[in-house]
Amino acid sequence: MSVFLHEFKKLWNPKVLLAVLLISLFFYEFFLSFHIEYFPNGRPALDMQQIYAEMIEDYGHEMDETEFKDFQKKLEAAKEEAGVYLQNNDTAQELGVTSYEEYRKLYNEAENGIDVHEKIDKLHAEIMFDKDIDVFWEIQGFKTVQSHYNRRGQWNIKDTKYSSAQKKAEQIYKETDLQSILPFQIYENYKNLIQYTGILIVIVIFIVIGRLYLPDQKKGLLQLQYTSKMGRGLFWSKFSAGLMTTFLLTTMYLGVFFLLYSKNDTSMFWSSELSSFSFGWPLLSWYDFTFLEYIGVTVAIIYTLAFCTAVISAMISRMVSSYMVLVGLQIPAAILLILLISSFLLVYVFSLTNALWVYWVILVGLIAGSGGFLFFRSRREQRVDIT
Amino acid sequence: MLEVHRVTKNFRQFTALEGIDLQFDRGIYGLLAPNGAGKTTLIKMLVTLIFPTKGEITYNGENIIDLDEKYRDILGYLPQEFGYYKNYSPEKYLIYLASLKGLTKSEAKEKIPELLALVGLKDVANKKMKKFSGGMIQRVGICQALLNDPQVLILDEPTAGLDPKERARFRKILSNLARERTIILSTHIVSDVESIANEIVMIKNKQVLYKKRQEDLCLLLEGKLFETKIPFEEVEQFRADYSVLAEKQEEGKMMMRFAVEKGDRDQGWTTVSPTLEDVFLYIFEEETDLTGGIV
Repeated sequence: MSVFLHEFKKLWNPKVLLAVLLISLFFYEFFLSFHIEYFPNGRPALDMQQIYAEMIEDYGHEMDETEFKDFQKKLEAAKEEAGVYLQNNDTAQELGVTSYEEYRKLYNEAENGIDVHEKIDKLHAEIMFDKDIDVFWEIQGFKTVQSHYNRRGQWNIKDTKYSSAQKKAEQIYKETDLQSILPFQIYENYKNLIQYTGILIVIVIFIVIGRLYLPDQKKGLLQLQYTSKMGRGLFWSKFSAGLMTTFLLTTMYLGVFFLLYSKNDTSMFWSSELSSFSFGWPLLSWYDFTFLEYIGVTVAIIYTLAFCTAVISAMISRMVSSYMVLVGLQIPAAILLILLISSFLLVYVFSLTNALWVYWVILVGLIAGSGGFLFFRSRREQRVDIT
Repeated sequence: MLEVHRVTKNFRQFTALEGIDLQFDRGIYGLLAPNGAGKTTLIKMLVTLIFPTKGEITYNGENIIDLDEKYRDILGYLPQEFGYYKNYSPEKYLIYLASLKGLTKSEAKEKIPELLALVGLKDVANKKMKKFSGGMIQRVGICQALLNDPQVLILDEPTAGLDPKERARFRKILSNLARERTIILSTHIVSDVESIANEIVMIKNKQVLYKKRQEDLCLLLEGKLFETKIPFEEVEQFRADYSVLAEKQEEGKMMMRFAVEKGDRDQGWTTVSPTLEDVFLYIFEEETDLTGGIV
């Protein structure tokens, strides 16, 4: 136990942790902060978020046809409220606009260069930007939701390579009628955040665990360590300390991430299924996940990635004899993992974008690859000459 | 008893040691050979850092590889060069190594002050090792080798970096320890083992050349070692004709110490008693220069 603690303490080197902290702050500033500080980003995204939240309150996590009729009434009520505003607006009166529909029609159809166009354009800028009239933004939000709901299941998948995904999408549509209330922007926002968090954790683990074996070897400590009673068993003590460090670092990073993510206030959507009417068919999931279950899956993937990264970094650290070679081997390994993260593992994982087997082959391949690396190196460790 | 049975060690195409047979009982054994002769290879096999290509090493009849931690539990080892954490104090460093050696913290805390006192480092027990001289580091190394009270103590060039006073102290420590254990001391410095080793092992051409008591080794040159003074102008020719082991200027002439295996002896030559250093220089003549230094 004392050896384990000693090896554990060595990994928590203050200078390395400071470097890791600086990298993390840099990473947060450049890749993560935007998706937290500016979410929802502008209007009508903000209005849509509110509309979806109200839908959850009014209808639960799904909206059926009856509830959709009620939803449409709210849209009509909003249009009426907009009409009252227009009826009291001088420019609108001048243009003869008394309802929201007339206003939109004139705005879309007025020809460029004529007086009417200039006036409606000015009116539009006044309503949407100068006075920022909420109901006009809300109508945009309502109409987007309405459009998504009306067009659900109407796909035109022509590419034959998606035939299995198409069948699955149709099956989901048949079974769920895609009534789940889960905004795409919530799903997209989480995807962006968890992807960069995963990449950051992989980078941090590479840096910290890269120091598991090499420093002692460079200092020439192996000769004393491997001739002690513990001997080559130290390989496993160090490895255990590395795994524990990986677990704690990953948990700390995920803890901080979810603390920051809580600012985005998405908990009301956690129980919604991923079979949302606001998703395009490629984002539907091979599995019947709720958003919270999906979050759980990404967390499990991050732990898997962190442990695989730890194994790869540790084995490289044991095999090389200089920091230059260590970094030289870690960089391509890190690039490969980052590509896997940003292409498959933390970007709409288990969505219909890719065949189901692709995700499992990558995951099982990663676990088997790093496990095999560990197995062969640990066997060799028992008989390797320490020269 | 530690035994080496027909051990050969190859590093790919290169053979470092071939068919080595040795037995080590209690006492001090001096492993004497020039640099590069394979001493460190043999030592590393004795401490399980490297493994024989052929043959086996046994302790009390059991293969040391099979004995695994049971063997390493009774082993103390001081490598030629060893690593340490610069920001650690000797005490902290020794506590870490003690835990690797299976000592409890309380056992280590009891043992470490004794050992530090033994090598004269008690006053700096809590100072950072980055400020230590080479000799002080070497003394910490000696402490760590003794931490687990080893039955087999293997020391590779242990006096490197020690000043004469420290070397004397070290020899005294070894003499006291040798009563109950096996000590193998590898060196190319003859004086390190001359006064304390019970037996000397000499390795040449990848094989054990001699394993004898010092007195028996010296008999190899008995009656064959001479000294004579010659004018400077004859030195070159003299070197070409005889195996010169040492030379020094004396009273305007050159005093030559040399060995003659066969042939006529000059009347002016004085027969001298051989020392271990003479035997070493004679045996490893081709690896040494005329002044006795190692090439």
